[in-house]
Amino acid sequence: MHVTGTVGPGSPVVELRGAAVGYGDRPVIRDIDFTLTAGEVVVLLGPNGAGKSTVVRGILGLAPLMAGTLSLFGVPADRFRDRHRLGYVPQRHTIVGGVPSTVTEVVASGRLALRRPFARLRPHDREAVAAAIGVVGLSDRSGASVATLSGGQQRRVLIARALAAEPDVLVMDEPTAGVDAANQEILAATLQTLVQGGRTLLLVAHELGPLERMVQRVAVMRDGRMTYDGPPISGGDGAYHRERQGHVHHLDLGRRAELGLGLTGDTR
Amino acid sequence: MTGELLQYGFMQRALIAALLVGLTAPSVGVYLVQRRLALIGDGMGHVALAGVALGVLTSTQPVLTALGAAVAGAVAIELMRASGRSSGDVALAIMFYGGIASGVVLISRAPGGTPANLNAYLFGAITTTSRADLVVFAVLAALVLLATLGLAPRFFAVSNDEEYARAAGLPVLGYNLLLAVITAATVVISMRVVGLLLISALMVVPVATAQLVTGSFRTTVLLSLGIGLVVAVGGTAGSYYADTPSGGSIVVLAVATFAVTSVATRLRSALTRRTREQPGPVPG
Repeated sequence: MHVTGTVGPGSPVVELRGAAVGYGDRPVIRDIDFTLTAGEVVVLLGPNGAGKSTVVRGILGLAPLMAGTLSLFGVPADRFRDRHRLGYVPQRHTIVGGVPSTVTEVVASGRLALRRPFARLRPHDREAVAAAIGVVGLSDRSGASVATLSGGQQRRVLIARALAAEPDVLVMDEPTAGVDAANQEILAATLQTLVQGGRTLLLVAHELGPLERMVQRVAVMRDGRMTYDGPPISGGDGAYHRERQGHVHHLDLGRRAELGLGLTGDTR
Repeated sequence: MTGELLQYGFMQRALIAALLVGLTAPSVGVYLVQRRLALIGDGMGHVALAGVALGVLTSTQPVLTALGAAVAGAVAIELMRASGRSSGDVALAIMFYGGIASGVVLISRAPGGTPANLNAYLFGAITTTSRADLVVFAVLAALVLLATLGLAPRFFAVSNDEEYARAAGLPVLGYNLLLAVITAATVVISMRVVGLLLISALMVVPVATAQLVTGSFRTTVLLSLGIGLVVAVGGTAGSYYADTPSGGSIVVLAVATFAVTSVATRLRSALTRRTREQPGPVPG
C-alpha cells in the first residue's frame, strides 16, 4: 500500500526540523527548521553558495538528510512513496540531449511516475500533458524539437514537464536565472496563473525580481543556515537583517552587502 | 544472385543473425547516444572478449560465457559510473583493456585458438553462426526489444534527465542497470556477424544518421532501427560477394550511409537558405 499523506489548505506539505543536508559526509546546510503549508508561495532567497539548492535537493530526496527530520504531506520522507506530488523544475539551461525530442515527448516524461511500466498512454495522460503545455503557452510548439526553442522556452518546457504529473507542490530552482527580461515576464505570468489556481510553490532565487508581486513569504539562506523566515519586506537589501521576523538564527550584519538580495526596485 | 546467397545454410543463419543485431543494436544505442555515452558499448565489447576466450578455452558454448562476462562487466561499469567518482574513468579504462588483453591471451592458449578465429570474434564472419547460436540470439533479441521498446518512455526519461527522474520517484539505478545488461546482451548478439570491436558502431551510427533528419525521439528510434536492419543485412550479403569480414562491411556501409545523409542534409539546408534569400528581405 502506498503512503499518501494528507493535503488540505493550511496543512503542512513540507516540514524540515533541525535538518542537515549535504553531499558525501559533509553537510552543506545545518539546523534548518522550515515548514511549507498548502497554498503558500515561498521564495528561498540568498546569494550563490548559501545552500538554497541544497535545501530543495534535500526535500526532493536528491541529497541525503544527515540530521533532523523531513516529512512530506505529514509522512516521514523515507516512508513517502508519492514523490510525483512534488513537481520539480531543476535549474538547467538546456534540455537538449544527444537525440532529438519534441516538447510533447519531454513533457510526457513528467507523467511517468503515474503510469505503469509497459502501459500505453491513456487519454487522461494525453490531456494532462497537453494541458501542461497549454499552461506555459507552448501549445503551438508542442510538436517542435526542443533544440529549436529559445532558452526561456526550454525553461517553460521544464515547468510543463513538472506540471504534467499534476503535482500538489511545484519546487523550482532559479526559474528566472539566465532568462532575458521578456521571457522572465512570461515566466512570472505563468507562475501567477499557477498561484491563482491555488498551487503551492517553493521557489529558489538569488533575487526576487519579477517574482516579488506574488510572493507571500521569504526564507533567507546564508552560509548554510536560515537567517530570516517571514513575509517579504521592502526597504533595501538590509531590510531582512533589521526586521528579524519569523525564525531567525544568526546574522552577520557587517557583511550584509554581500547578500545581494536585490530588493530595491528594479532588480534586473 | 539472391537465390545463390540463400542456398547456403551458413548464409541463411548469418542473415538471420544480422537481422536480429541490426534491429537490437540501434534500439539500445539510442539511449547511449542520448546520454552521451556512445563509447560505452565499445568497452563492453572489450570485456565480452574475455568471456568468449574463456568459452573457447573451456570448450563450452562461447556465446553463453561471453554473455556472462559481458553482463558482469556491464553491471560493474554501471555501478562504477553511478558512484560518480572521478577515478571511475580510469577504472573503466583498466577494465576495458584488462578484458580485451586477457581475451587475446586466453584465445591464443586455447586448443582450437587461431589468429583466424580471434579475427572472427573481433570483426565478424559470415561462416561462424551455428544453429544453437541463433536460438540464443533470437531469445536475447526478443528480450532486448521488449525492454527497449516496451519501456521506451522510462528509458527516455532516465536518459534525458536522470536527476529529474530520481526526484519523480523512478528507480533510476534499476533502469540504468537494466540498460547496461541489455547493452551487454546486444554485444553478445553481435559476436558472430558484427564482431566485438565493431558492435558499438552499429549501436551508434544508425542513430547518428537518423537524427540528422528527425525532430522527435520516436521517429529517431524507428528510423535508426530501419537503417540498422538495412546496413546489417546488406553488409552481410555484401561480405559474401566481396569476401570481406561481415562486421567491417556492415560498419563501412553504416558510416557511408551517415556520410551521404550528412552531405545531403547540409546541401538541402544550404539550398533552402539560398531560395529563401532570393525573393526579398527575410523577416527576423
